Amino acid sequence: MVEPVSMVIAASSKEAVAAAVNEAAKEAIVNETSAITVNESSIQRMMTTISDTPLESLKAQNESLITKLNQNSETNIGKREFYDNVDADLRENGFTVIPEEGLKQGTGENRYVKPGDGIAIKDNDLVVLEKKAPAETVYNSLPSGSGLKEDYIKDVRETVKTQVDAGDLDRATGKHVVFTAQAEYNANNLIDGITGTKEPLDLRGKDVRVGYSVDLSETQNVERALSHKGIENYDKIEGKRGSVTYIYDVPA
Amino acid sequence: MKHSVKSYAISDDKIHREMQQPCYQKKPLHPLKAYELADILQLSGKEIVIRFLNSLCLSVQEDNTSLIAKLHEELRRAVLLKNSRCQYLPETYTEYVVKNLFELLGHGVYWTQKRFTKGLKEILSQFLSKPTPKGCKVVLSLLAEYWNVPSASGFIVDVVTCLAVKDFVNQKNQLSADQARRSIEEYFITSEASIVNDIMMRIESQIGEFHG
Repeated sequence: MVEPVSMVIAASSKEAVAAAVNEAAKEAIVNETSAITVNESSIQRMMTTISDTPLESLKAQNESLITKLNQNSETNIGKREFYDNVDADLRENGFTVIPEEGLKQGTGENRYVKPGDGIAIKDNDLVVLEKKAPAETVYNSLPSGSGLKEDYIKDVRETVKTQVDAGDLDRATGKHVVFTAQAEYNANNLIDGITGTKEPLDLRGKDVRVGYSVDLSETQNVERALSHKGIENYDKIEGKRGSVTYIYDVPA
Repeated sequence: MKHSVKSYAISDDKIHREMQQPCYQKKPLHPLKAYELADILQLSGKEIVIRFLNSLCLSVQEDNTSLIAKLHEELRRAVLLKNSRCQYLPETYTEYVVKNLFELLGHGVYWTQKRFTKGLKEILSQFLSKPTPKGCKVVLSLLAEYWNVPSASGFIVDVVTCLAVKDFVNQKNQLSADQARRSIEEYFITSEASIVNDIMMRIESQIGEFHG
């Protein structure tokens, strides 16, 4: 059997390749390749890992990924349950609650501005809520990363970090200083009309205030954080389901 | 086995002697055609060889003739897909597969710190050219010995599980069980449903159940 002569085709020129392949060969390619999917297969996505990572390293990487995944899912479950509990507790205290799903993000250049975790309305008070589930506040590290897109919050975080590093503020309190800054930012965005609600909302005669809901176990830390920020006048609404909401005026 | 700096050291004399030797006198590790094929196929060829190795180690059949025929068919298809008019003999494909298998065993997930058994290359070439149940057993036992495991199939299940876990862990919420199963099947040329089920169960025990 004689091996057919192989032909070297210059890879740089697609036209040259196309010209070199005769019609019969083209037909064969179409027939032969019709069964092959064009999507990138799992194995292609993993090619770098397969050729570079020893099995033991891969196992170690997976363990860390799985730990992260489990932590995230615990946080998410905690979030959903806690947010519902806050809403129920506020309703029991006479508030009308618009949940997060009823709020509208910013548009245009503000399209990434989020509206907060809900709105609670009672009499003349319209409270823009920021809720933090126990799973979100369990770590004493200061909030960072993709959650802090706004420069204002980043500045607050930097200030708090400096104070924490200098020993003027403890981390458990510092994280609430950053979270409350986020809550105030949400309230200001509603006042400025950047964010809003899906159903029309009349702000006339309403006093827009900041609402910060946490688990009962965080009470002391939040109160210290508010005191640190110079906020002494606030309403504290404790619910039967273990949530506590601090409501105060938007700082000037 | 830990390499010391000394074990990698090459003396100037040795380099000089090597340089004196004309290059045409040196025999390449694999036939030149295998390198030519590797140049054409690149990653798609490697992918086929990975799928072949996985399928071979988990094959429950004694006769692997059909698996090797499928391997050749996939390689031929891949050559066509690369818009190449080159046509190769089955022996060239065999040499190409052997070359890629050694690359796989020498780096990454299939690598271990053990040395290759002497004669592994010849045994692999022989098995791929003329597959016999006995040859298959020998190849699998040599691979198990290299990986330092009781059976090659257990090692491959471990490898595919680890690869799939890494692939799925970040997109778990978007993947249904069926999609995950199809993704696992992509690691094989031919796969047994029972083995895929076993891998699925292992993955679900690590990252939780898929929806659907």
